[in-house]
Amino acid sequence: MSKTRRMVLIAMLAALSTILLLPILQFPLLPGIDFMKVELSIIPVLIGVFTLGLGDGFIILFIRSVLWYLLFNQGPSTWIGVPMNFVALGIFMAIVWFFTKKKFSIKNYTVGIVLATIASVLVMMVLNVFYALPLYRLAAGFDVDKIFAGATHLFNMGSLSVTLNPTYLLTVVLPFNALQYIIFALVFGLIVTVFKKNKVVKFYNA
Amino acid sequence: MQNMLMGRYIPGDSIIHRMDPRSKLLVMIAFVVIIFLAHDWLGYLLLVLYTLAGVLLSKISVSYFLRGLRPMIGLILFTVIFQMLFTNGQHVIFSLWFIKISTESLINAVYIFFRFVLIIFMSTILTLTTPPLTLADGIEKGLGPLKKIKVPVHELGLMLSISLRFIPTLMDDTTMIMNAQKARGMDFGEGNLLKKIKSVIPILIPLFVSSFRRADDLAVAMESRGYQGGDGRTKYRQLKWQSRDSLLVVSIIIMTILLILWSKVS
Repeated sequence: MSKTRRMVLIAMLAALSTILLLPILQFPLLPGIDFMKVELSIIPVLIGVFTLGLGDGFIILFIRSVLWYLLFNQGPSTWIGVPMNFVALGIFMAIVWFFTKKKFSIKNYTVGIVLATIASVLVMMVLNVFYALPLYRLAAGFDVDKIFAGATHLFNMGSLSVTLNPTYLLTVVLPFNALQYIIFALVFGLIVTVFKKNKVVKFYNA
Repeated sequence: MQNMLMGRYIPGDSIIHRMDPRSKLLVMIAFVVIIFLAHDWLGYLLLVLYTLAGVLLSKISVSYFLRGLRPMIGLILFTVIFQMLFTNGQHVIFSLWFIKISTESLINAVYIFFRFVLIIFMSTILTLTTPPLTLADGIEKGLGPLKKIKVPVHELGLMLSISLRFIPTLMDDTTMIMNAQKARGMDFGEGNLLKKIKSVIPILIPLFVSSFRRADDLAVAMESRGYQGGDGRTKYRQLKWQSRDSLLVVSIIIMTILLILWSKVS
């Protein structure tokens, strides 16, 4: 594949990924809980990883993050959420890629997905404790410790207060993220199956 | 579907429209940082006046800015109500069962409200007054120093431009595919979680296929016109940093100094 084709495909997948951030293409995990929506913007990124390689997957993820800031900027939630999303999805796709780069089989894919989900959920929990929650507390005055009991104060970083709240982590962060990554895995698995069957695009390890 | 994009460029000839995208980007990023320096009504008043000046100078109807707030109303209200109910204060003005609203919690809620609104307004000023491709050029130029550490800045800029150019096209494709599936009796967002996931697949696959086809067409068009990468290429759209851009950057520096001084004094 020529350099130009590669660049155009990266750009197109980044645009697709951005479109999948539209509210109309998201669906709530639980009816009525609007902020717990699943967006499938990682699917084009994963397709990029399996057609172009892991490095290009990260470029797609980066461009999509820049576009997210430019087109869907929703104040503090975007400024805090996008870097966290980048890290978690980056880890997820890197682990899936590592286990399936030699051969894309159901066994390899399942092992990759399980480990990637565990790693990404753990990273999300750590980022929530040390990054997101302290910043939300500062930026939006939103303190989950006032809703979920059992928080332990760890330390202060300047004007940021870092607390550990197991109740919130285990009842909100863990199930939501785990379910989200399982949905990603299912959708991507279905798409890969269809694409392979119809020879839509060449997956170089599938 | 196009209306779902928070800041669509609105052509105009205001002073803000004519500014360099780099200065606008710089000011927006700085604004997001300095908003946390405001701790009282005077600090927020300064920020409100600064944002208001931007809105007025852009000569764009306020309705466009309010439209940008629409997707955020739920989150803003939730955060504001949360502040009112969960901030402990000395002077309780309303008490019912476990709900206590104090003067401090109300003031805090107002500050948080302004923080959200001002950040969104500033972002909206940037996107409403800057054509997407000019914005991409600005980002590319802004990343220029990274060339020294072998980051392919031109390529990143080009990919960003292509993405921005194709988002409206792919949105139209999405609308068309969704309408076609609806005409075939497809129900989106109905049923349980598994059904919802299944209903997304018939949108995604045709969307991917059409975008791969578009990517192929564009690559052929670029190669047939002799595109061979960024080395030695000139630009059709030239960015010029002018005195008004320097003034804009100076204005945000002055704002920062004022807020720092005021937070030290109070």
